[in-house]
Amino acid sequence: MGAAALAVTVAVVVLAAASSYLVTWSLLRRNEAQRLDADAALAEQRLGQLLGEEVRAVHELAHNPLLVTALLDSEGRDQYAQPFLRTHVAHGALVALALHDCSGDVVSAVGVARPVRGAAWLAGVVDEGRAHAALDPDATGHLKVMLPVDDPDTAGAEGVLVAELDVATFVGRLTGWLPPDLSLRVVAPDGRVVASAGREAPARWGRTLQLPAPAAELGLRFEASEPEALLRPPGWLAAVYVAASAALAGIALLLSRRAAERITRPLRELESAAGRIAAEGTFRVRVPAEGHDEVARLGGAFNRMLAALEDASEADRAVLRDRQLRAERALRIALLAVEHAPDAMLVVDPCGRVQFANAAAGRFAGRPAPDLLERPLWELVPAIEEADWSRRWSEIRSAGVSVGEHALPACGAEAPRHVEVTARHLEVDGVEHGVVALRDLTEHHQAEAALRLAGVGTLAAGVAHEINNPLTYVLGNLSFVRSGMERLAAAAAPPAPPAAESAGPGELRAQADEALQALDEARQGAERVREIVRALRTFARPADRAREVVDLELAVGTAAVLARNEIRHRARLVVDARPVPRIVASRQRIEQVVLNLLVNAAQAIPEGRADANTITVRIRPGGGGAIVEVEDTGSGMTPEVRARIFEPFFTTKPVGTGTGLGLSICHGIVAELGGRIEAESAPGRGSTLRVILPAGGEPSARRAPEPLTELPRARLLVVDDEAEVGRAIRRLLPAQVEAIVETSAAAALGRVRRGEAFDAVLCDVMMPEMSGFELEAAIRAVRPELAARFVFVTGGAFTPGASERLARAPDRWVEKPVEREALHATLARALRGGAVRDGAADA
Amino acid sequence: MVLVPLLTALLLAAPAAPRPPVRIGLDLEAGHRTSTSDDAIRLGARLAVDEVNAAGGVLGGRLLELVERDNRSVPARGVANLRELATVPDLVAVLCGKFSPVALEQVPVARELGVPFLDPWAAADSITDVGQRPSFAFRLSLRDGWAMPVLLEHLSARGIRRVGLLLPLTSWGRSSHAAAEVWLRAHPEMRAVSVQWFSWGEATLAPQLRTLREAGAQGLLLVANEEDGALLVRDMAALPRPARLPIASHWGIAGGDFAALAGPALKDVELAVVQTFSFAAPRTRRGAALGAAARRAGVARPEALPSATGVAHAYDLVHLLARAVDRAGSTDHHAIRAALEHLPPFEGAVRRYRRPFAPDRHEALGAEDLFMAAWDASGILRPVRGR
Repeated sequence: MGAAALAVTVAVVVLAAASSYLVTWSLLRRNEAQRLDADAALAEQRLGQLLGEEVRAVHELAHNPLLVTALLDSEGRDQYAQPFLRTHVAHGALVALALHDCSGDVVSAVGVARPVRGAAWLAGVVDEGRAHAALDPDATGHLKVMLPVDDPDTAGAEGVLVAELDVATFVGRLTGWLPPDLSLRVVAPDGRVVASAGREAPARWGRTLQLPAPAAELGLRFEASEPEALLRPPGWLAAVYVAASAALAGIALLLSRRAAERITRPLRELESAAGRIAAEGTFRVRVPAEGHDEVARLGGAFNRMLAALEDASEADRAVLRDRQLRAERALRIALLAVEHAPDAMLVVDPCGRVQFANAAAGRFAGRPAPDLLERPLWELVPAIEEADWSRRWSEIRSAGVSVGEHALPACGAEAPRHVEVTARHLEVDGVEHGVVALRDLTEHHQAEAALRLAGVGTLAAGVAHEINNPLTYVLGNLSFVRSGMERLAAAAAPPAPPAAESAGPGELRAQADEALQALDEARQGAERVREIVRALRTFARPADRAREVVDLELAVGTAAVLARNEIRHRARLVVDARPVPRIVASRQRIEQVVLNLLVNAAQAIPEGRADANTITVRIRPGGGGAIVEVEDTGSGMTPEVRARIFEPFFTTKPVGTGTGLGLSICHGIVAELGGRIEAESAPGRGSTLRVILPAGGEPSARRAPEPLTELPRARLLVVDDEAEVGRAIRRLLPAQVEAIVETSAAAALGRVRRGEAFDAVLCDVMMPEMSGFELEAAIRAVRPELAARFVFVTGGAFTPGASERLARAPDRWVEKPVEREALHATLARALRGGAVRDGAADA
Repeated sequence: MVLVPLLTALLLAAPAAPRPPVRIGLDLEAGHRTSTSDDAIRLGARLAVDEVNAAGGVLGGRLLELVERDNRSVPARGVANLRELATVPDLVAVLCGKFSPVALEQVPVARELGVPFLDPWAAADSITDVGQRPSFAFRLSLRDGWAMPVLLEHLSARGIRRVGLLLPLTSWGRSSHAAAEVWLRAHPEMRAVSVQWFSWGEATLAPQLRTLREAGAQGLLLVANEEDGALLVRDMAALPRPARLPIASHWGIAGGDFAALAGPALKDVELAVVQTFSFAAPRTRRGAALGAAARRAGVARPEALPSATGVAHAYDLVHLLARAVDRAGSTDHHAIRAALEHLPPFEGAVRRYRRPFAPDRHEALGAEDLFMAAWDASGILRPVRGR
């Protein structure tokens, strides 16, 4: 058994060695033959090309008009024909040229030329216009080409150009680039070898080169050598190999057949049984197990194992199939979920190459997801730099996860996208991957900011209202006290002369003056509070102003004038205005917005280098309307600052420089107009604030300013839940107007219902038990003419309904803190309808 | 038996065996595409032969016969033809064609063969100036040496002081150039500002024309055959009108149907050509009669016949030859050659010849026979100024 196996092995090895030797040798030989074929083809091509060029050149020469002229010109041709021919000789292989006339006489020649009168070929060339080629019997290796020279006037050949080509030299020149084992030779039709190139005395000339026209017309045969086969084995070696292989093959066949009988067949049956089990999934397979040797015992054990497995598998199979189906379904769902996930999902290999990308990733990249495969991650997320990848990858590996937020340049949109990039380490079957999820947070951030601003706005409106009430009486009372003080001081003492330093009336006067000054300062403080509250209210809910068609360029111009002082030491101002759709808005509001943006831009630039910095205002169409963009070259903002700039009181300026309300007001105004305001910035790269205003809208009717009229005699009902406010209003009214102050709407209504006569009602909007509007409705029920003379006093209407109501009657309300002029003007308008008191008195 | 007396009667009734014809060789450029000179020479020779034969022939009743060969304007063919014609029995002379280069190569061969060589057209001076005696070449035509002064005087009379020369790169061009230089040396008021040469079969003459214009030429002296002449006229007509120059041309352009070759461009260019004869204005009675004879021979409008000079020259030459043969009394070449040099006065179509040729003068015409002519709107070449 062992010896037989050895013999088989030896036979197989010997056979394999012999056959591989033969196969290798034949392959090598074939390769060699192919290479030689290619070399010959190259030589063919090159030779054809070079000879073609030579022959073509001579052909062209034969068509030169100067040659025709020389044929026809009997006297002067020596002056030009010879020099002309000479310039063409010794180019390439051309060694001599001769022009013969139609009878064969030499007209002009360079080199030795004899008349060819009577030559056999002459008639063919001249009468039939056929080119002819012949070897020069006088010069070995020289070829003569005879070409007809046509006369355009007679449309026939009138001469012959005989060109002598030195083929030997020409072919010899080829030696340099011929492969070492390739030779070429040129054979004349009579069998004479004209020239040869390459290795000396090759074994065999076996190949005739096929040259293209016009080289083919030369009548020469170009032959290439047939090289000896490089790897020819000796004949006896091949015979020995054949004999040995045959013998060994016979032995091997015998031995293998016997071995198969005893070992191989049972083993093959085992193998085939195992194959069937694998292929069919059935254990109902048995192998023959006759005999008592190891192979038979192995077969018996195999059969027993199959029997046991058959029992167990039936029960498991159903469970298994069910589990498999469920697993497949789950996998499909998971795959679909990932594919259609709103977030971009990518799987990258440790080199950062994308191995999987879902549809959202494709949308992110702006190209189909399959196009992302094998692209590096940093192409999609530029914030992840290629150079930085290996560090980041090890970070993802060690921490398991990496989260970061990046700004991605978006395709086509106006602002970059903010993306949260989450990378997780994933190892599947020992292969490492990174799972990268991109979540677009841009809109989330915008919504968050809008929500925050809305909250702040409501708060601001509430605060404004709360402050305005006390402010109304603080300001009113301060004004009242001051005029009282003035009168008292004037009565107590005349104005103190500058030199008088004594006490007495002079001292009293000085104290009074100081008290007046203190009152003025208090008033200034209160005024400042009023300005802040007004600004807050503008942010929260800008009061409706008269709307008109706004010339944005003009508005920018006005704002630029106002901001000139801020800008001129810091930057140059460039305005780039293009035609935009019609914008309807409050001109003052737009100016206020631009002014704020300009001042902010200027304040982002340090003073002193005005020529190096620029503030650019661009007005252009876009966003469904017009865009006003203010760009500066200032210090720029961090993303954190940029996220908060529209919040009230948020400021980065030194204390005292700004209130932190400028951009909040802008935001409020622009939002009120239905537009939006955006900021783009990066530290050190300046900022761009972009106001997008919607087009269209109708301008509001213009209200002519009214002259301040003296109030007539009148009796007013003043209603405000804060008595101080009511009193302060009363103090702002002239003596001829009598004001009855009530702190409760119910009490005021009671007075009217009781028939008390009033010419008008001055009423707070926001009151605890009954709002101003409710009171008006109640009074309308009993005294409709008085309801028509309602004037509301508001410290900030913060319900939409209230805003709308006030907007409908713009001339019937005054703002807290109440100013005397505004109060008088509004009351005068309300009273202009005529007195109603008498009618009421009659009731 | 009946046949014998019949045959005898027939033989007796037949006239004496006809005497062999006296042959005149024509070596013309019949195979040239555009030349009409050969047609003209053939016509003139035939009309003269017909007249001579109608009057009883030569040598006491031998008829003249024309033997023609085609040289296709190629000197080698001309020489071969001449050698071949010389072997034709009773050939008394050979008339050549228009091309001077052909004639110039034939002249020494004619002398070598001893064949009278009659030139009704080719104008190169040296055809008759070989300086060898005896010379077998006789010309009844103009020569470049006469044509150049006429052309230059024509330009001078037009007020032109700076002339440009446009010449073919052949012996004809060089011969013309030499003649022009002789005249210009004697007339310092006129100056050649540039001399441009062209070869056979050029596609355009615009580069030469541009060079001549840039050199300041006010007028052009042209030596060319019909094709190159037509090319120049078309190139000239393509220029804006103020840039066009008047042309005085040697008569080679009239060696073809020039009006047809030049086409409509011809009326846009001022062009005059030197001539010796015009059917429209013949100077002798025989000249007028030649027109009538041509009409009888089928030429509808002889005055519109291209290359009319060839008709008249060949006609006069054949008449002179016939007289010389009679005078020689045989077809012996040397006797005929000598007779030609001593002919009596003869009124031809071109002019009246007091003594057509002399031993020291093988030119039948003189410089005084030349005049300038121009094509009119109907394509007829008419004298522009009497001489």
